[in-house]
Amino acid sequence: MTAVPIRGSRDRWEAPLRPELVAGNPSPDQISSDIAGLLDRRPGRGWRLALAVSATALAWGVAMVAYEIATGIGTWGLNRTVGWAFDITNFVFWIGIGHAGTLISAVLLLLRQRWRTSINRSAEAMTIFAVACAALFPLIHMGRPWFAFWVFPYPNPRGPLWVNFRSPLLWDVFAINTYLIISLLFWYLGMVPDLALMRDRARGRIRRALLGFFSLGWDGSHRTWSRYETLSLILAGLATPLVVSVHSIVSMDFATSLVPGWHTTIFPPYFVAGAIFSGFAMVMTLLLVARRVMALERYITLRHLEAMAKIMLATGSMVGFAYLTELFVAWYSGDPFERFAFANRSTGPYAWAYWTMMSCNLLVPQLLWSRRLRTSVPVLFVISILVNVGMWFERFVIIVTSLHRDFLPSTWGMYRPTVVEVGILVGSFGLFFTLFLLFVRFLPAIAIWEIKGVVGGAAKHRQGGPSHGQR
Amino acid sequence: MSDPQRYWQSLEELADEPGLAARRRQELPGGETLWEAAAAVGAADAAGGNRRDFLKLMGFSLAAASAASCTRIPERRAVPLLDEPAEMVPGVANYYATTCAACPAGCGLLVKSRDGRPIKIEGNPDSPLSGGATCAVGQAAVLGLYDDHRLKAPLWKGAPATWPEIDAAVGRRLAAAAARGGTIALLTGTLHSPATLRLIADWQRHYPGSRHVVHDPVSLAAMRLANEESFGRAVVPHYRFDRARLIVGIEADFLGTWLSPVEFSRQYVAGRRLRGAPPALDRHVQIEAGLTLTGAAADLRLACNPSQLGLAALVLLARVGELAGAPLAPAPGALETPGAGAADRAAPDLTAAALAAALPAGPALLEVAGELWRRRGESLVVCGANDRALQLVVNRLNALLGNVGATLDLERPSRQAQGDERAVAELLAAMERGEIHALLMLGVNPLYDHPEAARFAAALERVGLTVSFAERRDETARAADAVCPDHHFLESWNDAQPVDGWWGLTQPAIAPLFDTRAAQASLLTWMGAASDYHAYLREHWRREVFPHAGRGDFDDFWDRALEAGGFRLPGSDGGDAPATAATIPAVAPAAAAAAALAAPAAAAMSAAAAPSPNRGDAQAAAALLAEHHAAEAARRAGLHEVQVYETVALRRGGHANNPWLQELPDPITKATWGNYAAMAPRLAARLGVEPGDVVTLRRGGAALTLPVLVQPGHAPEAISVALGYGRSAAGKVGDGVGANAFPVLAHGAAPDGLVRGWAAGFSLEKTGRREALATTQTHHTLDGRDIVRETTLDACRRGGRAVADGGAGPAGAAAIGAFAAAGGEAADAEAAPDLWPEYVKEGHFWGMAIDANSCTGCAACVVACQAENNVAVVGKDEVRRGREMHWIRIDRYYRGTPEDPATVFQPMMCQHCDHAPCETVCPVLATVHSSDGLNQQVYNRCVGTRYCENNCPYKVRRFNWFNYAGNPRFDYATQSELGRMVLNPDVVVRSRGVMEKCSLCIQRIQEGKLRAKQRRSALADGEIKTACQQACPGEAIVFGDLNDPASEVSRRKHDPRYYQVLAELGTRPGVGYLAKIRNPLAASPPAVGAARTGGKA
Repeated sequence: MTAVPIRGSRDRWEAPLRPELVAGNPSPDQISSDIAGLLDRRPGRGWRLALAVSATALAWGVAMVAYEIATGIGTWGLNRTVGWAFDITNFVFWIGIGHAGTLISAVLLLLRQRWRTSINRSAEAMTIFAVACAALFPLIHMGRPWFAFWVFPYPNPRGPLWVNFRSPLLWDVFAINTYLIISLLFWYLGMVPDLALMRDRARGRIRRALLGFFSLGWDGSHRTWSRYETLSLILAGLATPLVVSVHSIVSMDFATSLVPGWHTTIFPPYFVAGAIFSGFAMVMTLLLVARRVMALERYITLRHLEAMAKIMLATGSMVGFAYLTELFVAWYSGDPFERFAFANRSTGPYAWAYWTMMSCNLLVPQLLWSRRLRTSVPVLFVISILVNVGMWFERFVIIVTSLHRDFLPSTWGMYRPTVVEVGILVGSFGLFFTLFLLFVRFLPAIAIWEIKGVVGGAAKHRQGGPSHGQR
Repeated sequence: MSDPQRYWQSLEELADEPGLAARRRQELPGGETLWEAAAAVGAADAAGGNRRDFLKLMGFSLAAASAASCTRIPERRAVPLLDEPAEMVPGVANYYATTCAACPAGCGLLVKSRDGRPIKIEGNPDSPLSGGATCAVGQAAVLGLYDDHRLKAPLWKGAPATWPEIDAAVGRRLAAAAARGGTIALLTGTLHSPATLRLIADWQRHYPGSRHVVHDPVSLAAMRLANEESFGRAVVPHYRFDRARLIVGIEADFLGTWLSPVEFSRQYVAGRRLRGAPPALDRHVQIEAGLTLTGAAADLRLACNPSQLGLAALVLLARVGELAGAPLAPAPGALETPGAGAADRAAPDLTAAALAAALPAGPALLEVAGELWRRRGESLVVCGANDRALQLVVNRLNALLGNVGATLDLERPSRQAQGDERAVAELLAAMERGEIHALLMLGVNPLYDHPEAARFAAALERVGLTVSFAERRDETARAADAVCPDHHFLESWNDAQPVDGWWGLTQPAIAPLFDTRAAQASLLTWMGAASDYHAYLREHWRREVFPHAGRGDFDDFWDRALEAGGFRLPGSDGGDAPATAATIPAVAPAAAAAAALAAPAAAAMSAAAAPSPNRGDAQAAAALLAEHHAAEAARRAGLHEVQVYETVALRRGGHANNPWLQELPDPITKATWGNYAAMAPRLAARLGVEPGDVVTLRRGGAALTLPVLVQPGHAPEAISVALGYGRSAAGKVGDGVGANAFPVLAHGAAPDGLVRGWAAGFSLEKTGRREALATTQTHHTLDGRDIVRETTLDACRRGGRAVADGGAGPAGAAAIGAFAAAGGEAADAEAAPDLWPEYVKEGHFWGMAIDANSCTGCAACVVACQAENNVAVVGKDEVRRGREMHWIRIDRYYRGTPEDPATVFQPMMCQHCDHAPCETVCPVLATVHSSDGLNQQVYNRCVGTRYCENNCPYKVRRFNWFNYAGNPRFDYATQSELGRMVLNPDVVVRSRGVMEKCSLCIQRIQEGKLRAKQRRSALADGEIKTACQQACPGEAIVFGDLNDPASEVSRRKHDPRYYQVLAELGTRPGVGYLAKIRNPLAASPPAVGAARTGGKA
């Protein structure tokens, strides 16, 4: 099949100026072998090196967590004034990272943004790994993590003792678990046709049996596709509210408290925007590396990157607007505690963290107004890293600078992280990248069947949604 | 058994020996293993029969195996009370009255014993001196009983010995010394136990030529000398702060550490309550160098360098003298005063105005003097400096003001502070000359707390026999030949007479834990007498005290006295019945002057009544002026005055191994675990040092290396260092904490041999190192927030009631507005609409009200709470990380300028909010509200998310960061078998990972409710006292039922001064505060005045 550019097509539904989603318009077979074929080859040196580094970081994190659980939360730098710091900062950070996946897979699916096809699989995987990293922190931040199951409301012989439905931490439990389950389902189900493809290509018996089990007897029939697409839409519909709900609920950990700097109604939208912002930044970082390392430039094109950059610009500006609104409201409220909290953020001992956050999240994304910059891979890479740093500091600033000086000056204190906390943060990155590296090695990182739906003739036959055939 | 198919195992079996079968049946219980039994059965089974046996055995083994696999809690030693003491009911506490020996103040105690072990010290309400209150040190004394480092047996030359061996060795040497006519010296601390003193007198009779020397590490000998000179009585007067309407304290921390702080605090606070209409309040002026508790409480505090204190007193005397018509005049001998510099060649101008001009605080002092004169007869000038000239000036002042006999009692004096450093110096010299053949040291540790400890140690080598009665191998005991450990006072019999007219009794609350022996018993043994000190004590009481009781049976008298904790001379409340002027022996002109001046109209008579009243004054004045000029000269040379002081926690270092005291934040600096060089902010800026910079203070051989602490309100040029630290042989807790400041005193000796508490001429060198101070509070101002409210007496009078002066800021202004509306702010807050449903307040509804006017910040409550609630000690590093565990803390804020701040205290514990922010956020309902108004923490349910801690605006929740009860890093007090004995069995020891906080002593509430239920009557108000309340000398803390309109806490809640901290958050705290009232003088700096704004210190 020769490459037929979509541009200039006679199809009246297709915007004539829209650039192609996949460069070079490869054939379905080409796509299959490009993507699934990656998994048949022996991993390269770069992959092995990256896995070694990630696994080392993970091992360090595991050791630190083990030490913390064996000894006590005292191994962290927390104190009677600052009861949360790295733990919840990391938690919110990872949850935020996890947001892009749902947005890309569910919301963009519903909105028929077909450019998502190249990135949705890895974004979803990233979501799951990020949520797994995030879920770790509420667990290990407990003084007695072995009793963590007490946060689940289940009939029990201890009274029965029930949970406190007024506590935002409990809402967190529900929100995160719902999100994790939906994301996992979405990811897995989205992968079923590709698993079937890999099953068909697989050589080893064990491999074939395993893939056969996980592809749930996929037969590629019309009926299967029809049901599959219906289920995709239902799941997308279910997952869409989660984009809003999860981080709204996480933000309520803070918003419903009475700590100056936390107690503010702007938090739910601000956190959601921030989450998408940071999630896209992380997707960007990962994809920029992956497309280079795995030679997927053809599938993850500049157009994808530019679209993500635009989302980052939009959400980054929302976040920046929220920062400024917060400052204004603190001043306008006339509440001395509130005013102090923000004055302390910007001029107090943690001002460096505040200004790191402000520059990385408010100023840096504004560069993306420039088309030249947002189509430059190195610039995007640097910006996405800076945004990740900035978003981590946003959570740190919110949590630590609000707590360390609240109502009674007699209790004001400082927080300094310990080696253990830094180790756990590094370990969480280790976990994330280890999982991600294993994912790109063992599962198709790009949704093969969806790509096939947006290239060549398939693109002309369908205006949206997945294609119905593959071979 | 006759089956021919049967296998036989032995000939006996074959022979069918009778009894064999029976023996075999017994084998299993006898220890034969199951395998053997099974093999036997198998054999039988193999023989073709006995399946029934097999099944039986299998059933048994299954049952046995399942029984054995059931987990059982490992058995611990449980000793049943086969022979149960009559008065002991398991689980019910007994209280024994005794007298505290943690310091010489001799407060009355009730020792709470559970199952035979003392676990808590409470004040004895029957004590005429301390009246149910205690101090931090007294509260902590119970932990000293269970100190791992206490000696468990006597030592001879450092090796464990038995008492007979010790007695033989010591007795032989004493006898030899006595036979040679050698000198035996007894070096003791201040002893006011009449029986012990009598025993020492007996000892001196038995060993003629023996000497008794009293060594106080911090001496007040100058006061006794001055009183002898002025009034003819070498005593420490008994002060009556409750009778003084104006108190002027000069370097006497009488609320914190000086003489009898609990008693003085009670007296003082009595005068700080509003009374009468229009309301009246006592006034207090404090002149001091370092900022002390007493200075913090004062209406006017004047910070003076130690070398200026004499001058300040002179200004007062000159002014009062002028008002009284007896002005100071230079004495003929003034010019010959040694040390007078060139500036003093000319006769000094001793008019008040001229003297005042030399001091920044001069104008204020002149006003204070005028106020003193207006309040003559009901004022009190009290001076703690060990400076004879200064004490003479103060005596003269009190005499001129007619206070002698009115507010200070020389007739029934205090028996504390009997130490005489000059006698110690003589003894030391005699030791060095080899004239002392035996030295017995009781309650002293000169190798630690003598200014020249090294010299003392060398001199000890020259003494034939040295005996220490120390309870541990302290610095001195290590150098002694024999260590004869004395009982802890909770194990001993003794009596105490801190003040004439009161005899306190010390009775054991527990049998001696170790092989220790009362020092008195040791002395009796070595005198060859019967060694039963209890009998000796009883006999002494029969002869000396019982006659005062009039008629009756001695045994009854003794039992009553034991029960009450002592015996009060009828018509005395422990030094009551103040000596009138007439009863003071008119042996000194000053006393005569005092008598003459007692009547205000008689001012003009002074000259006639006192032939030459101011000659001594003038000499004293000259000496003080000379000293002032000498210190000024040294300062110009870039050298510093260093003052040493006692802290509320460590005092003189005897309790350095007590972790509760080490971790007790200093009420002023909030520092724990170590001392520091405190200096004024300006001095620190001039020297270029920051808090935490380690500096060395050096003069001669004395070098102190300490971190700097910048202390607002500190005297501008002086540096002060706390005593009690730097122990080297106190034990695992106290060793190496801080630096020993006693060597400073080696340079403090005046020409007359008296050692003052300060010395000039110290150089300061920066070491370049830094050492973070372990402070529990790092920010010291209110930051303009309406958290602590105070007002002035004038404002109270104007408004007819107290009006909050809520500092600056809109919140403060709003608060004042709210106060102006009737009912106070609390009622407003409770009337405001709320999202949450109202609690049904039926039955009891517990609450607390804290009167800031009565709180001196003494921190007794902090230790009391720690003892009551098994609060963990976390150590210096953890305090640095902000992880102290105290359930109650005392917030201290400064207002005004860093040079002259006003200090306020605010005890802060869980506020038991009706709408508690902590309760809503806990995911597992580990913190919930009780029906009687308590915010309860359920440790078992807590998973440790710390969300409650974050959401608590008062930050009173404490997290168990580690396993403090088991982690070897925290081996301070309660990790050993011995240390654990102090734990309160009514309160659980919290595990790691759970939150804890003040429970309002829920165990005490339960106990009180049960008691009331058992006796079938309602709980009386005040029947239940929380631990902090019980310990409080000022009765600042009141706990009670808010549903009972007649309760004290309800009464306080309706006081116009009542407010709740952060009430605007809608938390509805169950704990409220009564605003502090100050009574400033007109000349007070604006910082202490009414129109104050909260500023940054």
